[in-house]
Amino acid sequence: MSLYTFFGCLFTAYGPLLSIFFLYIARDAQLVLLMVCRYAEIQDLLYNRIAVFNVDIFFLRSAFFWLIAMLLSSVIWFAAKPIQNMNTVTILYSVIIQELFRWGLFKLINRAERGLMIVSKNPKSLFNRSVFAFVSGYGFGLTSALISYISTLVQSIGPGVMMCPSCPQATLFFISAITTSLASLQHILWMMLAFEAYHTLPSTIGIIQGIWVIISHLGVSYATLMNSMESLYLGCVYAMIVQLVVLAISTSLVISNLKKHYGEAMFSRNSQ
Amino acid sequence: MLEHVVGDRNVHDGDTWQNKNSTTAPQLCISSGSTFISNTDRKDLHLFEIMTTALSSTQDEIELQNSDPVPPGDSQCNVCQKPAAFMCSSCGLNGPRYCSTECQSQGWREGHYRLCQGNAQARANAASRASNNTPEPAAAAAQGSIPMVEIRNNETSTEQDEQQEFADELRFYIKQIYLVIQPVVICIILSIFWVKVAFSGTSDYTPVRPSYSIGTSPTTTSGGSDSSSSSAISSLTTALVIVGQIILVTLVIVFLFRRGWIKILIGFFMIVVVGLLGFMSYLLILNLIEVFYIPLDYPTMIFALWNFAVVGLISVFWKSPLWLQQAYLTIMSSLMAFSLTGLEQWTTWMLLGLLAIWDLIAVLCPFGPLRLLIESSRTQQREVPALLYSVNAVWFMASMENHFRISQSFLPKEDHEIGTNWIYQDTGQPTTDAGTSQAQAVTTVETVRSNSPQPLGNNERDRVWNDESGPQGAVIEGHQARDGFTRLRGESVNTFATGQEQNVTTLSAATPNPNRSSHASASAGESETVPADEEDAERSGLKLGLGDFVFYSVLIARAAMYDWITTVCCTVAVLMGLTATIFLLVLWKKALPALPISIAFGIMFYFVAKAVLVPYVGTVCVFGMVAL
Repeated sequence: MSLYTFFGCLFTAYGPLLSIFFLYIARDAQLVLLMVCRYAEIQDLLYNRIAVFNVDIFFLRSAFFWLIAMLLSSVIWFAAKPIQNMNTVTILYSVIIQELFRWGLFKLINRAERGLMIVSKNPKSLFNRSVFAFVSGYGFGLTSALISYISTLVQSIGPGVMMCPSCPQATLFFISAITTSLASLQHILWMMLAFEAYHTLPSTIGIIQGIWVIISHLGVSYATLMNSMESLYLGCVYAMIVQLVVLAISTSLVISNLKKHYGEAMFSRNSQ
Repeated sequence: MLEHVVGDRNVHDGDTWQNKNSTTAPQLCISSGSTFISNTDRKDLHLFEIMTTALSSTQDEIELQNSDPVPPGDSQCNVCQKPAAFMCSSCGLNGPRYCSTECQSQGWREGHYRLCQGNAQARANAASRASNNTPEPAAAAAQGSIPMVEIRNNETSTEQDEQQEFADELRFYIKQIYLVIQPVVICIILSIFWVKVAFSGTSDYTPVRPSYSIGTSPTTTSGGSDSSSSSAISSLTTALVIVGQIILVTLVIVFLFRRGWIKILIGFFMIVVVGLLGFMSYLLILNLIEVFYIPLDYPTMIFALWNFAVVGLISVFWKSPLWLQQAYLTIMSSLMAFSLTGLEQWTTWMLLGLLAIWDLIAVLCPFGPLRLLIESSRTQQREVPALLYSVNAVWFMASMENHFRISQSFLPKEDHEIGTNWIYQDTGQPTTDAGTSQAQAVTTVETVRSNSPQPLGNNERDRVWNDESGPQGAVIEGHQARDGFTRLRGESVNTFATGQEQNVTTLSAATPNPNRSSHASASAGESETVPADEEDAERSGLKLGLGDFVFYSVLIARAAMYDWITTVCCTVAVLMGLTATIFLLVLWKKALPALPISIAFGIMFYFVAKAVLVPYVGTVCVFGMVAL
């Protein structure tokens, strides 16, 4: 039974990410290995022939960023002894630090964008930016899913079982798996939204989308607090509903953004 | 006929030709401002004259932007009034003429840098650039460095083509990096798996190393507060002893290699490889059998092991399909890492730290043994057959070369020439010259550094000599950087091809006056030179040593013995360090130790994760069930 639990939880938590990886990312080695030309613009390379780049695995870099954000917030958590058990405060600064690092990642990729464009399959494509954002978000999501769930997952193999406090009928392993998979998908969408928002920042749409990313991130994290509330019957279901709603709204926003890009692409093609 | 056609086209639109000409040069123009067209080829000259006449016949249609004293079409030197053979390639036919490079550099200083169209274009580019990180070397270039490039008459690349070509090269580069990262990741995953199996608690055969402790008992595994200081000392001594062994064996290998006693080296490596493949995989199989309850009798196991080891020996030392070699090398690295997991925790960390330091010393110091090894492998035109010192093991790079190299062909690639052989090399990985792996028919590639006036003179002499030798493949060898590796520093670096089969130029890193080592190549045509050079460029590039494989895996295996979270953290950190090292390699163009950055990242992440991240995740994510 424990092995069944293990594999069930494994595929529940990591199934979406794994299928995205194998169906989409692994087919295009370029996505896995997008380069960040950080220190030199492509023009320098062409004219100067001084090739100075930073070669990075794209989603490795975003994974690294997420990890640093997590380490930072864990250090804060560790240092602030009196509020260690107040998860509300912990969530607040953790999410804020994550968003700050997302901003930093955006700045970095934005600087290297011309290089990235040249390397990508369709250098002229307007969707390139979305693709970069998608892969970066994948890095965020994968790392967060791994870090936050892997120890729980390993425990699920063991002889004992922990029940979810708010939903005593289900195990903690399974509820956490669902939470993790939803959160990892959300990370991808958040990253796409945030990159779009930061790119069009002075405009109202950009501001609204940026605020939506931060608010929904905080909201989802606070909603998952209901998972562990013993007083709230079926709290995990409410948490899941909130996550699903946020996921749906984010998805529709992303789709509308992509549609806008598609419209622009068609327009520019027609005008040519 | 061809010439005529070309000339005809130029009559019709001289502007196009002029534009084309100025776009072939700009990669130089930022750094140099102006370049020469030389007539190494008599055909060149002929065509040149035709073009000149064609253009001067349509002179009125061409807007002259140049106010240099000598009118275009004149074949007198702009500076000394002698008959001129060169012209500024950026300005094309409208530009000044020169008889020699000295005159050009003089003319450049006297004011052509203000008028040169290539420079103007460079300035425009610099102005249009959004973010400009690197200091523009144009100003510095005006001081003295004027690299020269011969522009061939079949040069047709426009800017678009170049961009396309560049993108292709970049993609190739990415692919190569992917090929480097992939085996590292596989090796890491394998060693995590071995560790998780062997230390799952149900196995009796976990690897244990005898400790070299002095005095105190080495078996203080759990941290009692009283014994912690003594166990720290004992683990330090153990680590020191192991590092001492590594250093000793490295020195012995360098000595043997410099003396040329290759057969002893090969024999030694074969013994070690057999021992590793035989004994360590035996230990591992015992673990697997016990943990997974595999029914297996001894004869079958010994038969399988024997075959495994012998096939490994053949594939590593002789020949086999590439994928088999790679598989064996990866497995060997993970086995090596597995064998090192028996060390105590603090011993492992100290060992890793000391090794990173040793790596820095050995690769970067002027008399570091690994550096000496690389240099002698360059001077002796011989590959380091295999490198393996007891722990920092490096096995046959000869068999890895095709795999673990990254072409740098898109680096400084001038019109005329050539490939570069950046040797990227890391920790235990003394590597060989790109050319030497085909030592019989080598086309060696030398890198000329021409950002000082003196090499300019060298080039000039070579060029003159080149003109005498006729239209055959150009052989220019300049001085190379003293350390045997070429560094690109803001300034322009020209790369020139060198010898052919008859006259393999000796690439001696120690040769103080390399100008003498230029030889004439009278036989092979240019058409042969270029593919050979491209091939060289293909084979040159990044190499990652198995020593790094091993120690990355050791670090992560050690992290895996604590918790999964630390494992993930260390994996990300180590891979991040690896890419940072690759970045520095591309930046600095010299051999770098691959261990220090990764190890530093890994150790830091391990301890931070162990101290704070694991309890944090436990509280917030596991029991709090919060999605962050």
